[in-house]
Amino acid sequence: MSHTDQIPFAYPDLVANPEPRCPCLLLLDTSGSMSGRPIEELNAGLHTFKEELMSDAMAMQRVEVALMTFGPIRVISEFQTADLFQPPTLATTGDTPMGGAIVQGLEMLEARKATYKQAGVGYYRPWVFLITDGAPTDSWQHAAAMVRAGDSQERKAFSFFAVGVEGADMTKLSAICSPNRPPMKLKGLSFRELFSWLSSSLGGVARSQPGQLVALPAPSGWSSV
Amino acid sequence: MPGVGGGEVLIAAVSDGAGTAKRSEAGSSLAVARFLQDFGAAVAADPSLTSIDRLFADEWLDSVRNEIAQLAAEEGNQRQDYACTLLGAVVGRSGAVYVQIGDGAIVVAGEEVGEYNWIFWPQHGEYANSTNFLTQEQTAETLLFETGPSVDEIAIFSDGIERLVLDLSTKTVHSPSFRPIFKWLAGTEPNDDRQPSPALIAYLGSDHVNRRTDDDKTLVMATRAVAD
Repeated sequence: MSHTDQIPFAYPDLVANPEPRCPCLLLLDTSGSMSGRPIEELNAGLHTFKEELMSDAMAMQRVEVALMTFGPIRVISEFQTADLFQPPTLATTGDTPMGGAIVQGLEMLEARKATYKQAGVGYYRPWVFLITDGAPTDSWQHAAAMVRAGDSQERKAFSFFAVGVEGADMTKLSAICSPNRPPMKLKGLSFRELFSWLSSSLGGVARSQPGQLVALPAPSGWSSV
Repeated sequence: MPGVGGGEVLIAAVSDGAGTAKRSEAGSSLAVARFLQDFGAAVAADPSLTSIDRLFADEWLDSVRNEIAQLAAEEGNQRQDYACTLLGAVVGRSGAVYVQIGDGAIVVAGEEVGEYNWIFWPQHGEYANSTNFLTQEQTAETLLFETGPSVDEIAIFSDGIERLVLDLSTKTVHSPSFRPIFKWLAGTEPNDDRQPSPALIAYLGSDHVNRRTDDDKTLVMATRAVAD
């Protein structure tokens, strides 16, 4: 294959940094019910996330973060390495089109994997992290089917985690999540602890080697039984 | 090792133990020792290498897996506790034989001076932290076997070195990474002290290398060339 067949620098970030990527998609509920302390703590959590990833030299170059909020469904940031990720200050917005957000997010993730493959950049099994304090206000059956098909023993396309904040409909979340990965309940508003756990976990995945089971830190700091 | 007919034959192998497989060090030592011993005996008996074929390699692999299974039983472990990759080469006067299971790669001098080619592309599944091990089932399909002409320069390395010397987007060897090391190697005196080269250790331990990877790094290189 000659170099003239390729578009040079079509994905400059993947050329400049060819480290294998550990993609993490955040799907965050910013509906009206999150207003006040919940959204403040969520924003603080995002800052903790960025700080902790930056303190880990390998995670900084390998973990890629994309951030979407709902509703309305918005892509706040596309996939980029942690060093380039700027935590936004989120405000509360509208309703909770969780189904649509999940579908769009998973499609964005597949597109990113295709780009990695084109660039010859390796990647780890992606994480999708949904945080919500409510229930979907849109149709979510298609989203559930996509999650269960992708986060399965057969396909292992991604790992889908859902965290319910006080008031969340855990039954609906259980119907969306893979049976092997039931939704977790957030202890109070411990978003900082949650994001600290997430950055450690991603750091572990990002440096894992073939044949190694990644031991995740216990989520006891932020999840309630 | 001197071969019949006066030519020297090179037999080299690299095995990388799997992550936290608790006895992976034993598995990889065994795999390398058996490769050197059994392929060594085969080439001593047949310097043309023609009897070292796919069938020989498959049967050899079965026998090594059985030995690991026996060791596992003795030690009260599972076979996968000894999981490791394997890359091996036999280079004779008129031909060469290569085998591989897993990641890492074997690279040899190409036809053009200063150009290098890979024998097998590293075996990775979809994800960067997945590969094949010689202890797993279905190794008859995952064992890669190739024969080729004899070569004067060869390098065998584990996955920690891949990103330094392989261009993943074009699936080629990044030859400029190898040229200076082979040139340096050609200028050294052969020695039998069985110690790893201090210069290579320094290179593999350097910031330049370790900024890019914290995987284990294994590299074996050989050359018949002599520096001018």
